[in-house]
Amino acid sequence: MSVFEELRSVRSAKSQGKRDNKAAFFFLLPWLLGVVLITAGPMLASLWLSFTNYNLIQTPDFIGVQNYVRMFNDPRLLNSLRVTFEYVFVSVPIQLVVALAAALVLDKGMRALPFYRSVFYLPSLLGSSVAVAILWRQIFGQGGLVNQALGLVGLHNLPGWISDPQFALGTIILLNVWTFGAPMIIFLAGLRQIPDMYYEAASIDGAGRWKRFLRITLPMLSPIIFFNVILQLIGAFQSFTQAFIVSGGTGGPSDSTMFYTLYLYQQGFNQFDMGYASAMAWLLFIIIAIITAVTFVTSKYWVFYDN
Amino acid sequence: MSQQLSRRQFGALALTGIGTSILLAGCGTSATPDSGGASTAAAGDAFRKATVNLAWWTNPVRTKYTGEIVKDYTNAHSKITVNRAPGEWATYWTKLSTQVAGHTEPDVIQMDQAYIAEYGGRGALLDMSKVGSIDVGPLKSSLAAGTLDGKLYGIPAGNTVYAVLANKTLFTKAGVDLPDDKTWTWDDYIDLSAKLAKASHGAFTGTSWFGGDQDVQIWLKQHGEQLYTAKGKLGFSAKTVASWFAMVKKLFASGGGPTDDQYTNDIATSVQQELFGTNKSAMGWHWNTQLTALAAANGGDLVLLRPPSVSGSAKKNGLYFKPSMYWSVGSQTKYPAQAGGLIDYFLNNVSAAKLQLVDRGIPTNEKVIKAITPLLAKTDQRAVTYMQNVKSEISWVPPIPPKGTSTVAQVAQRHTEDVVFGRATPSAAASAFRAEVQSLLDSNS
Repeated sequence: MSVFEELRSVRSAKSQGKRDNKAAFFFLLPWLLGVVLITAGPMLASLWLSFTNYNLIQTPDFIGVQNYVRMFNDPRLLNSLRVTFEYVFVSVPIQLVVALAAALVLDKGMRALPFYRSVFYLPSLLGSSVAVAILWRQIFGQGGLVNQALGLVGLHNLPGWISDPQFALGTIILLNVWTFGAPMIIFLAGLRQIPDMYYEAASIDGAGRWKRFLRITLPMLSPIIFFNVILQLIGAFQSFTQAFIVSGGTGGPSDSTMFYTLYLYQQGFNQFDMGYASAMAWLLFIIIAIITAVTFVTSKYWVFYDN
Repeated sequence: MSQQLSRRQFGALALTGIGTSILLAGCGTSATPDSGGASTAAAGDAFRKATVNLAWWTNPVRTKYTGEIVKDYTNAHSKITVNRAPGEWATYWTKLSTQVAGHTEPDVIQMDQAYIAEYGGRGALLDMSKVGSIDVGPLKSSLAAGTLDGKLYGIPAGNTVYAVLANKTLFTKAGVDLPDDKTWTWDDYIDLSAKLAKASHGAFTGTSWFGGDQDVQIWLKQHGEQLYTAKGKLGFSAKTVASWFAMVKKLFASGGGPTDDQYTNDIATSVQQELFGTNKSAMGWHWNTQLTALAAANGGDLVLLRPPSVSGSAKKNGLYFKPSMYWSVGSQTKYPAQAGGLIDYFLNNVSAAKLQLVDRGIPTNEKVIKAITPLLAKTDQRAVTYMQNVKSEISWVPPIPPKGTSTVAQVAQRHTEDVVFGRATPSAAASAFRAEVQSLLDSNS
């Protein structure tokens, strides 16, 4: 509060205020330039391009909403949406449950806690990298680590997990779940915010461990859960690297790992159909916006704000 | 004055100003195929002062000898500077498309058959028939494969031809004789594969599988059809593709092919790591020029066989020469004559060819082939011999694949996966394949 008051009093001195605004503008400049040049400009350009037949080489011609109409008659696009939704709505809940579980365990307070925290967090830093995706190929491939390990316990004639359409998406979901560290850290911070006195009072009233979790931890943590859900949903819809590397850029086998973003990339850079790819990008934008909005609207029924 | 401008106005101005300039940068890409002063591309200008940008996808060997060839060339013609831009296959095309859009297209471009129509048809490549500095006389037989709508968008740097590679070492191990490749049919091929797999007791399978556009192409030709017509339309019926997928299904069911997931693994991996390269299959489908790489990978005694045919006649097996790559000139070039001069050196100069050997395919200039053959490794000599053996049987040049079809190999393989995993019947996969190729053509017409 005092900071705001201080600011207000400073601003009342007019000449100084002007100088401050200038300074603020100056300090904002890098960010502003970034937003305009790297985000807003290209977004506007892609909106325009989505109404054209731009092919990267020739001057784009305006073709109205043709690209948007085409999307609804494109079976591979609809399939890629199905794959993406499956990925998002399976991997995000599992990942968050694992993250919360890990956070609860770590919150108990143990020796070498910083070490465990780092170890669990590490995959988040690596998870969407090319190196790990290549590693994943080696682990789940035909003669990969998983099959060799299963071979040791007498299981043979196993499928190549990434080369069988039944399992390929599963391995990528697993890869995403493995990167539970980032939401875990946020959960940990959230758990620290819950005052111990609630638990003490509940214990005195005879509430068991499970009940305390359900009645205290979950409600108190719900704003954090909400935050993580939003963050992971948006991130998952935009995943690209894992599918691109694990499937060798094809989205295969049999389109089973054809993420929406991967199909978009193929349309743009393999088919040179930038107009269509731009339209696809806007559809994804709209889908993410709707799903985020729905999450926000429903949040008032399950998110509990303390104050 | 500028002080009078409120910050908000300034912000808005900046926003629209920068935004518009981005829009313009993004869209202002008018490629004009006939600019570039082709009329000045006379032979006499070939060695005039110029800087020529040369782009090619590469491997370590190719990077090295291409550098040597360029050095020899610039030593001989001191007014020419050549900027070399080698790249990886996967990123090469992304880079090239953005270069064309950004008006920094290279002058000399190593081009692939899958992309030549994409670029040529969109005005990004020069009609090389107007470039006088290339001696096309010794290359005549190969020019049709680089011509689209009467314009020469690329000259083949070399040719390859499709083949069934047989690993004689594994055949001997299994106690199975090599087939007579002049008369064998697809049924013979499937039976032989099953026999090999059985005799190997699980050590290796009969044949690996590729199932790309070239495989479909020869099957179609054997049935009197082709992937595309010369006018860039569909040239095949769903019925013929259905019979193709049915044959594939039969092969996989016979136990002589790869397992379904071995197949998906195989088509996504490098030549050295695939089944044939690791002695896990006795036969495999490859271009003849890949023989040396594969022999180095599996250490076997490899033999090139003609693909089987429906009628059991080598003359009707549908084989054709495929340009392994092309040399093209970017339409934005300022120096078409000098670009042509460098290309001529790559195609027709004997000392350049002696450095290059058959890495860019088997050359089409007879004089060059004669000069390099004694220098070749045994396996490369076998590839040359195979090509010369089938030359008299080859009767057709497939039209350049039309715009939009650069990904057709993956389309064919994806539908093959649907068939071998039992996710689609051969006839359903065939209809879907045909519809998809049609839509590739439609969306790019």
